Amino acid sequence: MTIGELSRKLNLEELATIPAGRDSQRVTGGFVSDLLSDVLACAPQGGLLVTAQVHMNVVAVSVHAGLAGVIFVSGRRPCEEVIAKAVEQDLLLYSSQSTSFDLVGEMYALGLRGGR
Amino acid sequence: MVDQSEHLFTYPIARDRYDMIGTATSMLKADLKRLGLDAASLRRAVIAAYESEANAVIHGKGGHMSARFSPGLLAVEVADEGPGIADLEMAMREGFSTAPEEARELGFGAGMGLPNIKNNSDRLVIDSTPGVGTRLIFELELVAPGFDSDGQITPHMDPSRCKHCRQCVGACPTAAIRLRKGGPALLKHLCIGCGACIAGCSTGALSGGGVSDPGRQAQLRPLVVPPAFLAQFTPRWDSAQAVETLGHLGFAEVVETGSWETALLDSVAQWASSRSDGNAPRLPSIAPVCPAVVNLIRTRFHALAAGVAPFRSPLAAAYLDTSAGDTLWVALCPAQRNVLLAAGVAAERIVSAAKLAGAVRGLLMEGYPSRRDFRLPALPQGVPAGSDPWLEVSGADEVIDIFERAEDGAFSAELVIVPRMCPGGCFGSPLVEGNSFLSRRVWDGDAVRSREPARAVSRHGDLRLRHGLRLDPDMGRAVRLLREIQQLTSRLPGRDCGDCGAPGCTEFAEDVVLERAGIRDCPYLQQNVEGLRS
Repeated sequence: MTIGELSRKLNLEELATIPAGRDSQRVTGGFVSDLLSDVLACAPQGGLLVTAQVHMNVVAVSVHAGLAGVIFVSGRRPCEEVIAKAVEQDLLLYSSQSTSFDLVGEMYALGLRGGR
Repeated sequence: MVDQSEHLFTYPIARDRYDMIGTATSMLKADLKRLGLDAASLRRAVIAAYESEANAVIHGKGGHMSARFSPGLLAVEVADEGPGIADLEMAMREGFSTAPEEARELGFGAGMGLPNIKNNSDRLVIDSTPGVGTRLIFELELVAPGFDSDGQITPHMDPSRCKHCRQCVGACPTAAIRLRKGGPALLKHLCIGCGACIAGCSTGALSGGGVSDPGRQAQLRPLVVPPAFLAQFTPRWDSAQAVETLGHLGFAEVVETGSWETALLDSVAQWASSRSDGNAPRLPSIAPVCPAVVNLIRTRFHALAAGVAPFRSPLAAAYLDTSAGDTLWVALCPAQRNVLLAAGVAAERIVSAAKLAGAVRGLLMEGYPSRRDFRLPALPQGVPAGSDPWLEVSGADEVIDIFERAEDGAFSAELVIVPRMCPGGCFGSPLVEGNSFLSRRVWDGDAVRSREPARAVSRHGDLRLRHGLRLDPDMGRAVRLLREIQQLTSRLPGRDCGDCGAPGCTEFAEDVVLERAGIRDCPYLQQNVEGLRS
């Protein structure tokens, strides 16, 4: 499944303009955690992170873990500075109205898995 | 070759800036990418660096990160001036954290940092003094194409002692030695560090090297030795007496590396039984106990490389498990010495095996009566035998023969080969004395053997192959060179007399075509040329 398809099916809000071509990037993995060490240790490369944390460190950790993007849950949104940093680092940011539990359930049903 | 041994890069870590955590790591990552680090090592290095940086900000009030690159190794140090770690054992425990509330709110402080660093590095050293600060160093073995850790595989050479006996030329199993006017010369790309030439050399022109003043070196430091070193005094003295004597020489503690070899073989057994190569042709598994054998595969048997179990040498594992920085080491061949150097042991911490054995023997003769009623010790009960079909093979010719057969597909993929270059394994090393059959048998039943559990250390990334036998990177050119070599070989006498300094006529022809030797070095051709002239 591509990131674009996933974003439409999950009704995600794009927090910055998606660069050309990224829409059609394939995504097969995901991870959910609010603990940054947990993300570093276990998140699958090229996957999407589901988290409630909206601060700057989430961007750094996601980039270092090689993730494709981050989905903030429960309608949470980071500040503009964080969004700008993510754009600079080529990291996609989305916001979802769902809670972590519901969102991850939908992602799993769409075929995404957590294995590295 | 450019000296790559000491390149230090420093990256500052800002004080109390939670939002800046990861900045130093990003700079390190950019540099590592430019060095061409493989993806797996890069990811591990970056995770370990990020966690270390986060610790330095959250607990240490900032500091700096510095990275040191040496051949095959990356060492990253993160130093801070924080309060230090009061209880290191607790700190290493998963889930334990002393992070302040503000850090926890951001998703730090889950007590996963140090365990994450340990899991993503090959060696972790923490030096922390309460009130002064913490210095954390983690090391990773690198698989960067630009790094060449083969620089020191070769034996120690002192050509001035050479008497031109040519023994070394014939002894080398990979035809890597030529005898020139100035003494032995090595074709380094063929040398695998087995030490066979040392066994052949009676003048001391070729030796194992190492620091040679054991008494002054000891100074209450720990010493790590291969079992064969302790067992070589059999049957006149046993290894317990050798250990006691090393204590008299001033070593604080003697650790033998046998348990790391056992751990490696256990892990190889597990790996071999669960191995799947996908569509690749299935080859026998090979246990990397002997680093000279691994070098042989990297040089001459590239087809077997995929079968080499992905673990590092037992000596490297021993080093990674040894936290005391002042430990001294004994290597029983140039290849083992190179393993230690590549893992990060400083050259001045490697003791000359021959000199140390000489010092031990001297003390043994003075202090202990030589035994005359020697009996073989009983073997311990229930030695675990591998359930897989193991083939132990030792001695250069036998190992090469088995590898040739393996390359030809003679063996089933279930076979596990445990190859060692020296006859009888390290017990037959040219750097130990005694009878290899006796010392090995005695060691198997020895009381000094440590039964402490040790671990096997995984090798990350593929085995780095050497160009070895390849005549030229360009295949078209290699074909032309091969034809020239064949043409020249047919003009040579084929007696392999060795007068030219090469082991045989084929090797000499290659030397001439590759311009390593002049055609006039062959006395036979010389006569013919002169005959034609007159």
